[in-house]
Amino acid sequence: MNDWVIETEGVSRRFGSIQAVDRLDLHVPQGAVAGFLGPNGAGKTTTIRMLLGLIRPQGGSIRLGGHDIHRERRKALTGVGSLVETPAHYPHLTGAENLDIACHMAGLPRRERDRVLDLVGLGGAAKRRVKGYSLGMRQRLGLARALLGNPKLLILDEPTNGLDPSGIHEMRTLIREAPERFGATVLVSSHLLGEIEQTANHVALMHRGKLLFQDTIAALMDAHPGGLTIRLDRPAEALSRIRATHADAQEAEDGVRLPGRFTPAECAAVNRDLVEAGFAVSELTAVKPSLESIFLERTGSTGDLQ
Amino acid sequence: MIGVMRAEALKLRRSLAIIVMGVAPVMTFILTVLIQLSGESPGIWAFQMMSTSAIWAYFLLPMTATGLTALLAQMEHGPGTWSQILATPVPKWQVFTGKIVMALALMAIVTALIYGSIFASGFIAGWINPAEALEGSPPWWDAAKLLGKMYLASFLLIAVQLGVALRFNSFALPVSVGIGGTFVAVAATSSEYGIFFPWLLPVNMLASEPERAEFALMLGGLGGAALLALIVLYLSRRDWH
Repeated sequence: MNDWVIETEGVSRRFGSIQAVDRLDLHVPQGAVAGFLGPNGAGKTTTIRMLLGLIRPQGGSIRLGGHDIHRERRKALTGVGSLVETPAHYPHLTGAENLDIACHMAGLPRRERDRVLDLVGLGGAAKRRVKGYSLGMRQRLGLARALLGNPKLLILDEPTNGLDPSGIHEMRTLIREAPERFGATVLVSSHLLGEIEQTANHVALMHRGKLLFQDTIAALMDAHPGGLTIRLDRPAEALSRIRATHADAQEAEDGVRLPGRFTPAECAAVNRDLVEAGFAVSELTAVKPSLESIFLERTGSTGDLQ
Repeated sequence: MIGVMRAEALKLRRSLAIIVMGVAPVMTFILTVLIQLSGESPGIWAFQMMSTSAIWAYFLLPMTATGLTALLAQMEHGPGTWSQILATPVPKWQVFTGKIVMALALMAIVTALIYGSIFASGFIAGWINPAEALEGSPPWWDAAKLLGKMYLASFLLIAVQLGVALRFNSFALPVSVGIGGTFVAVAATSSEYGIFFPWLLPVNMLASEPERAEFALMLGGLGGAALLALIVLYLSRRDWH
């Protein structure tokens, strides 16, 4: 018995000639905040829709909380809160009435509506019609709906869309604290890699329907240690000297690049050695990889990650 | 299922569907009052019942069904709305059955209002001008039977309209189908095959041949129920992108 809250095995889905998702084995452990990343057309939305039982996979199996999404749909989706695409509301109704609809369907008491409205900071606007809400307020209302009934799994698709900086901060905090505050596991898809870096502790990278990587962000960073970039005069000469101690050193623009992770003391030692050998070191930078640089490297993308 | 129905009822609050429900009864009421006051009506309750029912069955019933089903479905056709509803533990068949039950319930309420308008218009026109008061006793039971049969016969038409409205993310398509069906029905009235036309089935309750009326009632009621079941089955099994 494992602790996977989301578990897919060999899940595939094709639309015509396009293989949207290809033998996906996704595992999200209990208590994780898992970032789900991929460029346009990577298969993230199709995967999320299959996880929620909106699209049937053509192969493989999906289990949420240990229950098969198709054979035990009701059990699998009980305790799952989701925010897919743009949050959908009935604009002619108030925020409170919109949540009442969800409460009626889920058989939840009215106090649950008031609890989630306060949680997302919409308690004061509950009696206003949604057509007068800003995009950010609609997004919060969508999140409030997802939080109804204290879900054990939150599946959020681009939850910070339309939020202002303070709203983004609040949403980020809410997602990050969800495991501790609500005991919820979170799968959050976003094209904002920095956002994921700040909120998630796990990450799943998708590209062209395939899963490229899934593990903790720390493990991903460990696999991409970054390096040390040194700008100096006579780079070719410096490279041959450095290779005596760092065989994997490479030539870089106006200098040398040393792959690997370096402590400040190791940086200082490299610098000292070069200066004592008479090189004029103009710049020495320890390069820490970002999720974005790793992502771009892994996918070969050029920047459009939506 | 009760929760689904409570949710459906709440969605109607302040919606256009409520206004649409009042249009047909108000129009039939005004029209029949004016006809009665013009002195051109035979001045009997039976005529009042038949003329009101004919206006309802030919034009207002199909147009009301078109409007109500389109509005009910359109509420869910906003970006992501279906996904949001269908990603809950509520069985999908209950979600679509809820829509169907609500559409049939609203049409039943409008039918009841039409029933009321038959008698309200007769009494009020007689009160405005006692010389035009209708003769005989009001046909309470006959009108209820006639409108009830029209309602049952309209199930197939409601099923077609609701099916189109739920399946396609468009307001124009079901409205076009409804308008087209209503006008083609006028031309198809005398056709041999007109008896199979869903938009004509309620009208056939006025047919002088009892077999024609019985067949239309069976086709409309049972055919409609069967088609509604198929719609639930289809929508519950299809992918929602």
